[in-house]
Amino acid sequence: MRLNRKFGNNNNNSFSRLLGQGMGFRIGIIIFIIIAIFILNLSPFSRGIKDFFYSISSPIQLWLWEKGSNTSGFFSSILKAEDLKQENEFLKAQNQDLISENIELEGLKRENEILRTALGLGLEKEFDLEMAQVIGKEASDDYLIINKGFNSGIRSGFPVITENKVLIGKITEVYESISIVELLSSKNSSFDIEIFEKDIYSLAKGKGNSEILLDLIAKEEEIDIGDKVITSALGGNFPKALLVGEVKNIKKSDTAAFQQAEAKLSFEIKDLRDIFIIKDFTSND
Amino acid sequence: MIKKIVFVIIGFYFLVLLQSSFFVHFSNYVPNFVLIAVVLINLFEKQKNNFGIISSLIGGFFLDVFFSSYIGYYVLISFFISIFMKFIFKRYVWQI
Repeated sequence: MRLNRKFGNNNNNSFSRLLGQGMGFRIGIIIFIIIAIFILNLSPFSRGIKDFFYSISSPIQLWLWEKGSNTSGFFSSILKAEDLKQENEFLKAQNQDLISENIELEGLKRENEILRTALGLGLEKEFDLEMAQVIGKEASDDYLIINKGFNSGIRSGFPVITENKVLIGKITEVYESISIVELLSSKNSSFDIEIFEKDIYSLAKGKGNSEILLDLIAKEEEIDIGDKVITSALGGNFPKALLVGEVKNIKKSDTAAFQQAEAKLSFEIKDLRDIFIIKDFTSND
Repeated sequence: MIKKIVFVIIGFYFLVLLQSSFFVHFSNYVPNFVLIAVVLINLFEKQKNNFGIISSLIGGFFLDVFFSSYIGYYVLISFFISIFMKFIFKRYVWQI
């Protein structure tokens, strides 16, 4: 009884004291926050503030991104020194194969060009690209910040690729001088894909941590680990035949109606620096 | 007090830039250094001081500018962390 009274009093006292001391200050701050949130989010101020901070910060962020990339590369090369030797030997062998394949392709390319000229066909239309640099990554989600925005003709929904035409994601927010790129691995991302050379279509969903889940694959389809995943034109979200990643794990269950697979994306966030935005493609979103 | 606030504004600004552009290269999961700093400031703050609350607002604002679609999300989170810590300290620590 005495204990209860003691704890009860204590509780009331501490709470009233908490409210008592600086109560006006705290209530003032709460009212200030609520008003500020309403004013900032229901007006163009929010965009203006973000534009201001991003425009003054983007050179610093670009510099930090480059330094971070170099520093992490230096440390990972020390930590992976032993693996590097084996990888080097493997790459040398692979290089020999590629050289011979390249010679063969060179011949085919010349033959192709001659045929194109003979048939009067123009070269395949390339994308209208805008180059940009990655300057940051959002802390919790799979979003990148790039240093090109509305002023450079960037609009929401434009696909973003690497120099090797590997798909990274799409633009979701555009500010004056910067844009936000939603990565394929973002949990909000879903798009249609195709398993390369197998004519298997599926829906890909972001899983976070540079991985995607391939869902709704018919049970009778044969997928193998290492199969290349490319974009499909079905969904209209991205141009077709851009490299997405490769199958890492297959999930088959007797009870489930469809099979699923996990795929690893073909790019590493930390290696991204220069990226390209496809300006002449409009998604169906 | 004003000197401290200016120091916190500059400090949190660079901490957010480091968090978004430098530390992301080392791990896929980067701790939220600004929220950690807010917690530490509140942890070592004197009883009658409101600097912890002010720093939580500044930290939350920078997190919102760089990491959130809406300004106010991180401001509220860090503000309530600060208020909660003050309540716990007042009830269990400062009374002793």
